[in-house]
Amino acid sequence: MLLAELGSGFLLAALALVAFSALAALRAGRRGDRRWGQVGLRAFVAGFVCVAGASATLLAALLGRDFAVAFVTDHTDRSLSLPLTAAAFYGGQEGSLLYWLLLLGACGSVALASARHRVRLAAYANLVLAAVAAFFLIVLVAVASPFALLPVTPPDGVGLNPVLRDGGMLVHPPFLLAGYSAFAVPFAFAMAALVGGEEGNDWIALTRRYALVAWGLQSVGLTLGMWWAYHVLGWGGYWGWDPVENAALMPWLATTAYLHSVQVQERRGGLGSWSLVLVISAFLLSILGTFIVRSGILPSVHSFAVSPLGPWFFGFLLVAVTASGAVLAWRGTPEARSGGDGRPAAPAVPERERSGPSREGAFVLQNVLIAALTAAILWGTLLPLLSGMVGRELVVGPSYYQRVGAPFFLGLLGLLAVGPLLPWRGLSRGWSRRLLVHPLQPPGFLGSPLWAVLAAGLTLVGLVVGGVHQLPVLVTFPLVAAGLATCLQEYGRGASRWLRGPGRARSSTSQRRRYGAYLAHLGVLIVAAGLIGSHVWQQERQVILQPGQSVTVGGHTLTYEGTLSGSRDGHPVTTARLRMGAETLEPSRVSYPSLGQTVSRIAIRSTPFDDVYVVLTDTRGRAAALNVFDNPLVSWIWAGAGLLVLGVLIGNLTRPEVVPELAPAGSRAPVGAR
Amino acid sequence: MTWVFAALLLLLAAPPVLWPLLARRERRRG
Repeated sequence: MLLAELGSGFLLAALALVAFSALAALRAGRRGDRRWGQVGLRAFVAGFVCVAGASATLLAALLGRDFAVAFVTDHTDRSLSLPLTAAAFYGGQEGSLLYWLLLLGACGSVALASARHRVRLAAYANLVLAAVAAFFLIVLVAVASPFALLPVTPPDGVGLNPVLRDGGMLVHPPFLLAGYSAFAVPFAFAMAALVGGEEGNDWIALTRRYALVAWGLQSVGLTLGMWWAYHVLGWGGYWGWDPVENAALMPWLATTAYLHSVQVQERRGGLGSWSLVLVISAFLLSILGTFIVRSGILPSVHSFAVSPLGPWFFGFLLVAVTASGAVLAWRGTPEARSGGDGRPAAPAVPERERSGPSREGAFVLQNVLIAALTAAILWGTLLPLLSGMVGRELVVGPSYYQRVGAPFFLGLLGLLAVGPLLPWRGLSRGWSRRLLVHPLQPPGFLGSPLWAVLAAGLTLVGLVVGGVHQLPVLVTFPLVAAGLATCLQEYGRGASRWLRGPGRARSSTSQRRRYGAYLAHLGVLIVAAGLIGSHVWQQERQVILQPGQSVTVGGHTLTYEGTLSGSRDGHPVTTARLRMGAETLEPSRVSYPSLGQTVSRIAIRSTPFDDVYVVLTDTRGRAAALNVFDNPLVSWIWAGAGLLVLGVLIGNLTRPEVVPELAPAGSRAPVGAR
Repeated sequence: MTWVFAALLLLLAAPPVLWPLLARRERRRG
């Protein structure tokens, strides 16, 4: 009882502190007053400390199984293991909002403290973050308190949703929610730069860094979500184009576009306003995602999270869209103001000698493709909602996304192969002639696009000779090979320079960033191969087997041996035993009679080439109804995503640096380089 | 009790939060 009141007290104090922080920051921003800026920051940090106190209180209530608190009763029971009881913190509506806020406070405090030397920028960013935090705190205090008490304390809780009772619960939601909340930080800095009329380049480095943090967290969250869906939901796939999945993908896509467009901004002083639009869109899309999850307005696998908070988030979304739209219209139009910094392009080689495709052109095309892809996904996601308003509700399925997304996907793969090879400002005039005369030379043995063409051609021939006839594979795999060739030759160029160069021990930040980005590109290419391979070559058999009978899928023969009955955390479990060579696969079904639900536990045998994936759908006497899948190359998706995140970590685990000057004309700094 | 806790927390937070302003006043007096 006292614990709940303490928690509510923490939230109330946090609300007062962030509201005060917003006012202090506003004053600091308007007057450029350093002291009020410090007060605003300190109030924000104090608010965060109170939110941390509330979180610790909720955790104590959960672990202490304080069933007087409604949240604890609704999301745990005595049979739940200790880690999952702690994970119920973000498993329920109110707790997940508190967790969102906790991470917003942590990321926001660090970001604001690191930017405090820029008084107006930090003050306006503080204002935006405090306003966002205040919204969440109002909701937590007034509408959905995690510390609401029950009139009568029950002896046991209702328990966590059976689907969530899995190891994935410990990893997927924390990262995804962290990603969602972290998008608020670059948004706040972008808005602050617009409102405060920032000049110079260092706010770009700051915003980029925070966008990268949010993007990294979201990458991990999305991958873990796919991994979890694959391991738990039992339909043999990892991505169902569910509205909530789409909602998590869209801010990630927008930020991916931003991380590339910002390089044009850093290098050439262009695309400044567009970059801001992307950062702001990412945040708005993340709020839209939260709205879709909470409102239950669209049918989704995440329907367990539906709550009456939908209208609140819709209102917040409207306010955020209006405010950011107004600020963009007010301050965002002149390119020079928002990132061009009025710095004129000063080409060392006259522009007339350079023409044709350029690095910045590749970035622009990449941004157009990603923006169009995001718009197509947004349209598909919101179509049921929009069409329902005017008449019959229309719903699009995965085939819509696959058909619409395919050209963009191919275009992006092509750019991965070509873009890094293009010089800034475009190709010089004699480029094509040099390419013809010295095919393996321009601008060096390891810089030729012919390697990519060679890799694509060899892969295509290899696939055709190997008897592959599926068009998606014949188109994408050569593109993936070309992209790999491009990345690897960039590493080769780096290595050869390192061996030759006098300052070989020097490893600058830009080089780290460059090679980190290529590692991320390698990751994306491996993921792409995994996505296409698993989609095109997947095989499925639905069978009912008696003991001793076998089923063969994808060259693997599984023999059903029988079923076993047991219990798991006090719940009845039926397990089927299947023998595959020397291995045994044991898919099972767990019953939760009190909740009226039965959940399948899938058995997966995974190798780098394919996964054998077995779902026990039913048992009839001694017979077992099974769905058996052969899913090729799925492990490539997890491995590629790991490389992607590793690349970003390697490339960016340093202090942000300001780009000192424009790149000289024709410099060959690659995608990752600033 | 909730309000009491909240008020106590705000009292506790006030000195460090307002310190940049208080320090200026102290310096002016000094």
